[in-house]
Amino acid sequence: MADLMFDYQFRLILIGDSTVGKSSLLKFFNDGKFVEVSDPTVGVDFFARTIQIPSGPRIKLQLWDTAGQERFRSITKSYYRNSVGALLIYDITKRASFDHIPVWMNDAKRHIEPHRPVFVLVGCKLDLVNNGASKREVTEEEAKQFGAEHNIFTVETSAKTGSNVELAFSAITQEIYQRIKSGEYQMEEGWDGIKSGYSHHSASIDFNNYIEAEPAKSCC
Amino acid sequence: MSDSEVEFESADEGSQGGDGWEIESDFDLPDVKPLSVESKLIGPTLSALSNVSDKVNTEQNFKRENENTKQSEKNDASSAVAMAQSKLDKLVVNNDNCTQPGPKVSEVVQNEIKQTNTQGWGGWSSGWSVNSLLSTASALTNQVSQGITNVIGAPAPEQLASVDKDKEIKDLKEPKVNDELTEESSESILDTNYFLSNVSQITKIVETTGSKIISGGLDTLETVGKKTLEVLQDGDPGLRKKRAIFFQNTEKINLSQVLQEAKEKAEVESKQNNQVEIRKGYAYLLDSFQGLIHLESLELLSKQCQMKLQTVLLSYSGTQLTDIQDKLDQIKDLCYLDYDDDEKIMTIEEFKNSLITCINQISTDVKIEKILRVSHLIDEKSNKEFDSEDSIHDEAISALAELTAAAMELFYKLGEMIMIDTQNQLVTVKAEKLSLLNESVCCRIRFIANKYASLLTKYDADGTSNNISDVYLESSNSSSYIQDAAQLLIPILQLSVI
Repeated sequence: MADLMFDYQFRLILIGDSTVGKSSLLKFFNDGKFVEVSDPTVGVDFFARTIQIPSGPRIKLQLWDTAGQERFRSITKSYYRNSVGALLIYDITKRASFDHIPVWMNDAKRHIEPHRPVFVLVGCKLDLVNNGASKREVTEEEAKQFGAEHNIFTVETSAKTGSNVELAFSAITQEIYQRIKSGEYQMEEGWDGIKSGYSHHSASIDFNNYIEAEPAKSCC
Repeated sequence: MSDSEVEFESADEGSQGGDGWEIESDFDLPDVKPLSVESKLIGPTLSALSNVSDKVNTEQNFKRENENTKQSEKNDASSAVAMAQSKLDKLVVNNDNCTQPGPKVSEVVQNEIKQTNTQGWGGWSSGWSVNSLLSTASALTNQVSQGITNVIGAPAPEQLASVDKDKEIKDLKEPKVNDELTEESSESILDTNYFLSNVSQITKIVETTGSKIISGGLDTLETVGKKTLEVLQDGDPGLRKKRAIFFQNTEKINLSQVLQEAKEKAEVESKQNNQVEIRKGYAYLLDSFQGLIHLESLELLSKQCQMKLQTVLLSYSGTQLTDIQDKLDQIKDLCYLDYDDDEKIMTIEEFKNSLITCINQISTDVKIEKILRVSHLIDEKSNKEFDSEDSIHDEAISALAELTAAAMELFYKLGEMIMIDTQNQLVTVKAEKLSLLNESVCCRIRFIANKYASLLTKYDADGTSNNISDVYLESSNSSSYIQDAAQLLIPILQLSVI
C-alpha cells in the first residue's frame, strides 16, 4: 500500500524480453522479497510505491510491469503512452535480451512521443554471475557504452540479493524530477505520465502557509 | 545484429500490421461532442437551403408585384436562376473551367485534409487530430456555404441576364424538354397575351422554377456532400478511423474517474477538517488495494475493443451485418445478470468451486489464487474478536473494498486473456461463465456485508448508529462497481467472435 501523502506521481513502465526478471525486480522493490518461482506475467501488472527524493518531494511511483511474451505485445503497447519513463530490462546471462534493448527502446520512444521518456538500462541476475551459476554474456562495459551513447543511466542488479535494485528506481525518479524542475516536463491534461499528488491539491503556496500557520492555531 | 534480433523485429512488425491498431491505442481522447460535428455538417445544408428558398421567395414576391409589367423581368429572374444553378454545378464538380468559388472550396478542403493527414490519425495526438477534424469540418462548411451564398446571392440580375438571356430563352422554348411543367412555362412564354391574363399560371411557373432551384440545389448539395466525403475518406476508407474516434466519445464517464474523484474529494475534505489521521474511506481503500488501476486498465482495453468493433462492423453490410449484430447481442445478453435472487449468498467453499468452474471455461492462464486468498483472509478476520463498534465498521469497509479490488483485477486479467485468445468457438460459454463469476463475487460481497451487519447489531441494539447502513451502502456500491466492471468485458468478448 502506497503512502497517502505524495507530491508527484510518476508512471513508469518495465519493458524487456520474456524471463529477464522484470517481475522479480519489481517484487523486490515493492516487498523487499525475492520469489524463487513465478508465473509469466499475464498482460500488465501494477505496483505502487512511494519514495522520498533526498531533501526533495515525495514521489509515488506507479509501476507497470509488462509481460515480455510476444502474444501480449498488443496489450502492453497501450501502456506506453501514459508513462514518463521506462526501465529497459535485460538478463546479463542472456545475450539476446541485451541485443533486443534498442528495439524495446525505440518502441517506447515511438509510443511515448512527443514526450521524451527517461530511460534507465537495468541488467538483471547479477547474483547468478557472482556465484558462478551462470556465465556472463553481457559485460558491464558494453552496457555502460550503450548507456553513454544514448545518455542513459545503467546499472546491474540482483533481485535475489537486492543489490542495486533501489538505485535503479531512484535513478530514474531523480532524472524525471530534474526534468520537472528544468521545466521540460509539465503536468498535462490527458497525459498520466506525471500527476501532482495529494499535497498539491492546494497550491503549493497555500500548503506552505498551512504548515506555518498550524502552530499558531490560526488556521481554520 | 544477431539472427534472433531479426526474428524479434519481424515478429514485432507482424504484431502491429495494418489492422488499425495504432489508432486504438490512443485511448485518452479528450471529450468531443460528436453532435456538434454533425450539426456543423448539417448546418451548411440548411443554411444553403434557406439561401435557396429565400431567393425563391424574393423572386416570387418580386414577380407578383411586377407580374403585369414586363416579361423580360421574368426572363431575367429565370435566367438568373439557371445561371445560379449552372454555377452551382460547376462549383460542385470542381470543373476546371469554373473560375470562381468552385476551385476555392475544393482547394481549401484539400488543404485542410492534407493538414489533418500530416497530423496523423494514428499518432499519439489524437486530441489534436479530432480538433483539427472539427476545424476542418467547420472551415469546410463555412467555405461551402459562403461559396453557395456567393453564387446564389451575389451576381447582379442584369449581369446574369445579359450573359445568359439568349441561351435561357432558347432553352425555355425548346419543345423537346420532357418535363410537363417546363412545357407549360414555354407555352406561356410563347403567348404574351395569354400570359398576361393568366395570373395563376405565372405564379405556378415561378413556383416551378422555385422547385427547380430547390431540387437543383439539393442535387448540388448532394454532390458537395459526396465530394466532401470523398476527400474525408482519402486515406481512411469508410471513415473508419474518424468514426472510431467519435463513437468512443459517446460513452459515459468512466467509473474509475468517478471513484478517483470521490477519493480525492474525501482526502481534501479530511485535510480541511484538520484531521491528524485521514479516515480511510471506501474509495481510498479501493485505490490502495489496486482496484482503481485495474478498473482503469480494464476500461482502456474495453474502449480499444469497442473502437475496433465499430471499425470491423463498418466493413459489413446487409444480412451479414444483421447476423453479426445478432451474435453480438446474444453475447451481450448472456453477460447481463438476472436479478432473480438478490438475497443469494455464497459460503467460501461455494465461492471457490464456482470460481474454479468459471476460470476453467474462460482462461486457465488467469490465476484465481489471489482473490481466493483475499476472500479467505476476509473470512478469517470477520471471525476474530473486535474491541469496538467502529473497528467492526472499518474492517467491514476494508473487506468490501479489498474483495472488490480483487474482482477488478480478476476481470482485468480475464479481459486481457480473452483479448489475445484466438480460440473463439466457446465465446458464449465464456459469456455465461463471466456472468456466473460476476454473480459469485456479488454473493460473496453480500455475505460479508451480512456478517458484519450482524456483528454490528450486537453493539447497536437500539439501532441509533449509522454503521450498519454504511456497511450495506458500501456493499451495494461494491456490487454495482463489480457489475459495471464485468460489463466492460462485453466488447472484448464480442470482438473475439468477429
